[in-house]
Amino acid sequence: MGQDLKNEDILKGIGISPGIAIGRSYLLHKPNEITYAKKLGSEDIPNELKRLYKAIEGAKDRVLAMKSDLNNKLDKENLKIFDSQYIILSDPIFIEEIISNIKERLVNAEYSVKVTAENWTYKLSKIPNQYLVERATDIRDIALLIIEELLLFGEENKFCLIEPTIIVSEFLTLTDIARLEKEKVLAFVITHGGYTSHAAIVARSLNIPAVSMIKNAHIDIKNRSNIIVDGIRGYCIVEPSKKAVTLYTKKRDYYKNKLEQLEKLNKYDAVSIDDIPIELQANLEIVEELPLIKKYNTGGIGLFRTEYLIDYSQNLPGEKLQTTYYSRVLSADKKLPVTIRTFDVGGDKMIRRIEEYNEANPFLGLRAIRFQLLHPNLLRVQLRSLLKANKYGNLKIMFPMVTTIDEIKSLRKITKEEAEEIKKEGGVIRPYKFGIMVEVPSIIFVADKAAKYVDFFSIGTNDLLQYTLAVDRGNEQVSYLYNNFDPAFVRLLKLFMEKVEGFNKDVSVCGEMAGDSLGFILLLILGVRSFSMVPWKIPIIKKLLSTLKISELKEHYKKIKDIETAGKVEQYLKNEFKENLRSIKEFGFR
Amino acid sequence: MRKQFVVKNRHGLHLRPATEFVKLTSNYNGEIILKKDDVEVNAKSILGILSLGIEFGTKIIIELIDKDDEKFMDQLKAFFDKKE
Repeated sequence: MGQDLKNEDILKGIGISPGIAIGRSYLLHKPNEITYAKKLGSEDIPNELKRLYKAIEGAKDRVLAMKSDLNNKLDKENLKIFDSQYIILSDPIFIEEIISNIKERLVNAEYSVKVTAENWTYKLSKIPNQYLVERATDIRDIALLIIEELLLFGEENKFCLIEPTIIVSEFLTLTDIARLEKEKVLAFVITHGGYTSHAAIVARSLNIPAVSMIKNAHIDIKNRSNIIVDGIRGYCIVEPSKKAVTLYTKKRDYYKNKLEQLEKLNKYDAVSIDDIPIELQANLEIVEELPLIKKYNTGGIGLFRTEYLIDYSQNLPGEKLQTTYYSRVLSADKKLPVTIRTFDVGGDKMIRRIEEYNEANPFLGLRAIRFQLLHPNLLRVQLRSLLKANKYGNLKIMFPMVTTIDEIKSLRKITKEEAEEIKKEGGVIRPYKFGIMVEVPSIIFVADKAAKYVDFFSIGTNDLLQYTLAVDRGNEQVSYLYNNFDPAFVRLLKLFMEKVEGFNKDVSVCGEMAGDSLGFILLLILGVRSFSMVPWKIPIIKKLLSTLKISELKEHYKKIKDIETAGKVEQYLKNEFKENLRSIKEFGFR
Repeated sequence: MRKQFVVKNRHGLHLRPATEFVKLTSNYNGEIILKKDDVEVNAKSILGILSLGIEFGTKIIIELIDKDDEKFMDQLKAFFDKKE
């Protein structure tokens, strides 16, 4: 398939919602592109003000319509955004300023709205505590609403899409999505906006393929171009050849068809062909994703990252905020285990306090629990919040980057102290599990000792591989070394499984390897029975699992252990499991 | 009439509580001023309020310009006392 696309113009980004679409592009206009200053005569002013008032009222109506439109699709908290937009549209000072700009500068309403919005965006950006105005910075979005009303005047409120269309935009807000006729949207191509942006979440829940982080997409892609969007690989192919269209048409139809089949699979449990149940859990980052654990019929949350809490202010949040947040996560399904990882800061996830140390080698430096043990008060706040939020006894606390037994002992001590403290204050401590990430090789060599102090282990294959082979996957010159099938890595994983055997501790894998078809098979061979991955991969892995005979897998290790290169391990697995892999090939999986 | 309040919302007056606040002040028939330190804004303007950056524990003064209304002040007190 790589060969077939050799001559295509491929823009590469990241897939933020899986699926494939082929169609024409439509560029969503943004206010800075369409708004220009037009000089008015003073005799034009009364009419211009009339236009403005009408547009503001129209924009308000639209906000209300959007709110009721998304009423069933978003939860209460997210719906409140629309209330705030409505209030901003009614803001007397904001409107007064737009009016005085029109009157004094003698400019058109569109331009006046734009400069007023820019002025307020600037003013709010000057507040020291940015958390306070985090969502208010979308004043641009509100200005856009008014401007479009001014331009559309009396026309239909929605963007009128003549045909099913691929939406291309610099960024995509919730209101953009709400304004679109969703049945006519084939896909989204966005310049900015990560996997966790609101738009990405909505796209995934609506099953609309989307790719993002495509540099200059909104500039380079012309309106009404033919494009292919591959939300699985994060590709966007502009003006594809007939050959690519044929190829992708097949892929798309296959994917759609299989998706329908996979949706049906959601109701089944994750078991192998020989009826051995395997735990498939979800890796999640934000509360908006919580409905996915039910949608995909998962066995719970194997990794809930908490770094998202730090994003806004670059400071660690307080106990109340954290408790509320974790309560929401833990109550998503009271019967299923929820593994929450403590702040994994440092490395590529910086916060201000760590930056103060100015490290030459952050991945080997003050990361995760090393930072938290250096600032135990911050750790204590997080632990207290977790324990207090644990109302249903389904909490698993997971510590990242554990290197020594000493660290485990300290973490245990602190956790117990906080539990005691809460009890002293009259609080209740419900059952919880205490576990560590296995991502620093050192802990594997003493895993039999560590097993005495923890309830569970979770292998973070990404970092473990990076530390084992001393390779930075982001560095193109050396990333060829970064390979899950490296014999040393395979043996290291095996060593770990042997070390913890007999201790009856839960072992799961939450790295990318778990959601990779060959990686998944290899891990089963090594004896892993619990996995956590991005939710949308679960049905695919479940499908693969339903073709595998677990009782026969163990035998393969005898062969694999003597293979000398990563490439050959991979080839071995590909050959041996050809038939199984065929069952999921259509999903863009290798 | 004027009255001093302390913001008890742990996260300060960010967009959501500010929205709720303006919903309240919009019910008052007349001019209301919100004062923080020496800066005054129209208490019906959400952008004005946000631009003050009102955090947890901030003391603010509310002044009803047009007519006194004890009941309304009580409502505001209940609002500022809320912790969430």
